[in-house]
Amino acid sequence: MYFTMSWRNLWRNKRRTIIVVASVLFALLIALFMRSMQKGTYAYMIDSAVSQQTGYLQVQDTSYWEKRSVDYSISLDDETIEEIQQIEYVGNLIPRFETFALASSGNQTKVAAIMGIDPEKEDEMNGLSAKVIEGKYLDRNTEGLLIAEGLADLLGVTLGDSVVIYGQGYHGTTAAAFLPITGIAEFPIPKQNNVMIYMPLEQAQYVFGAYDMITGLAVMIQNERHLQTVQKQIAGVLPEQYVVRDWQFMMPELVQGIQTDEAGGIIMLFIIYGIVGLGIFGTIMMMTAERAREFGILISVGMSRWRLIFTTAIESVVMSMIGVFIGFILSIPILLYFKANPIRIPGEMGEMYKEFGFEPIMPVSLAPYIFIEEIIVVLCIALLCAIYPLVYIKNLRPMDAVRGI
Amino acid sequence: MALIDVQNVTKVYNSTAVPVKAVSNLSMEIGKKEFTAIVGPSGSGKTTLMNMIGGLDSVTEGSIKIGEKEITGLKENDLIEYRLHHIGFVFQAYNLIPVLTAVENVEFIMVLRGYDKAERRDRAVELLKRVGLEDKLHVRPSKLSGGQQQRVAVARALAAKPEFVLADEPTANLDTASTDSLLSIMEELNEEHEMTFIFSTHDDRVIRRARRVVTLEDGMIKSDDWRNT
Repeated sequence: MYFTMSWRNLWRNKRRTIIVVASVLFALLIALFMRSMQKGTYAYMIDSAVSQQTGYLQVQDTSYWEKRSVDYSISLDDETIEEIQQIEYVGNLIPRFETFALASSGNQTKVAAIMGIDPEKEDEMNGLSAKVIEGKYLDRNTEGLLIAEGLADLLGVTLGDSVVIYGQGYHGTTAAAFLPITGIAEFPIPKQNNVMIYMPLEQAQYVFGAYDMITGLAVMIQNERHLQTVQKQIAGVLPEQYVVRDWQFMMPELVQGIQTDEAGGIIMLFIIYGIVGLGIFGTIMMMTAERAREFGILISVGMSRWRLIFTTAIESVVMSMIGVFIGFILSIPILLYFKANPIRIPGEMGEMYKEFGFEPIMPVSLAPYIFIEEIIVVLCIALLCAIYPLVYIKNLRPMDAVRGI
Repeated sequence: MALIDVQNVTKVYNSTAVPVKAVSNLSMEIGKKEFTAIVGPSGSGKTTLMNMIGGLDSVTEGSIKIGEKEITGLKENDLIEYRLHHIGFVFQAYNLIPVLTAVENVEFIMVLRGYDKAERRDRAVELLKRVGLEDKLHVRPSKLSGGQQQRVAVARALAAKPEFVLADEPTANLDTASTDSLLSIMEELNEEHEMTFIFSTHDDRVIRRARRVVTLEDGMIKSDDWRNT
């Protein structure tokens, strides 16, 4: 009968119940939308950054990251690479030879970021071939280079022209080459679009005199949650002078950017929680005041306070659960829509994203932990507000309540 | 032995700047099967006395015994148990649970007492038949007239077989026909089940039918009249 009473009490004042349910529902919707967008954006930024730049992990010489010199290139034998590949959750392994050199054509000379790549694996990792706007994408046998469109403009070259590459090679040798442009690629990010030159790995090794050597082996993993485990396992199969860096180490500014943004987002979220919580609290306070006399009567006729608290608590729990359930159901199509059609960030904020090296979009994440976290938080807020009537009943003087004092 | 034994009870309210003595050194006994009205003008102390007998208010001095049990000084939870097991309440404003039907309202006290489902339903139906509401079993209070609601309240008060019923101004909101009908039912229950009824009232219609009328004034007994009705 207690459950019957609680359930019927919920519908006794429909408007009040609807207000509480709607408050919980909107709190959850807003919280889920904000967090999914935040987490989705971070995941996108991380994914873009690791696939375009470093990989989740990278095997390097211990001194490479500090010196950034081809002198600290590494050579991994097939057996070691196979061992790494066999580790659980390890995805693609992408060998790279990265360095800086001068790129020159006619009177124009610019600093270029040279990236020797395995064209097939690189394309699989970051879809590089899709960025080609003129000419062809690279293959292993290409004798030429893929140049970023911005850099080509700066140098005043076009498809079929040749570019002089001039820089420092392995262990003090001079790297110099005169290579034709076989493809031009456009990058949305100016930082990349104005500096990148790609060439097949073997060609880069040849030009820079670093035969069979790479500056790093980028490692993609199937699930970022296992990053640390995989990192430890890879470290276990490497020679002593080699190290495995994670993306957080290689891109600290990205980590800081995310942390700062997340802190701001959490503050916003807490403001929303506060506003919604006060709304729920106000409604529950009103409900309690309306029923004070009834509570007094029930205690007078012999209902223990704990039984009364129990029936009142059932009402709060049911209202909160209904709000959470509807909020959860409604959030799914909304989030699915925004996952398929991410919001584009306009204006200065969009430009800022580009400067950081990301496309200015806000994809949403549908990771289950976001739903679990937000449902728990919103339920806790609603149930925290429901403590008020319980305390009220605990301290109620039945005759005062009956008299309306 | 008296069912209710009130001895030298005083109640002082300290809620205002000047303490107010609502009941002053009052003693009385109420026996089994009595049909007693406690009357007096507003502020005479009748509701305070009823509340103290009902364990809803504490005494400042004196003692109240129900049977052999001293209830003054009982803890809150013990008082709730005491009320549940020994007293039936009928209030002026009926105070039924609005979300429960008539039969559920009567059953409710038995739920609190732990009766099993079949037993409580049978007894609730029987009591509602007894007060003439067999056709209103599944009707909620808001659909019942004042008189009908008060009859449900009487059935509820009797549901858990209390030792006595405290009725605070039970007819204040009822018309004459409803009052007569309600009092007749109470008289019959008093006769048939030897149920003790104690009323606090201003209502002449109740006073006329009571077999004992205790008149209070300024918290003291002014008169205590026994009569044959």
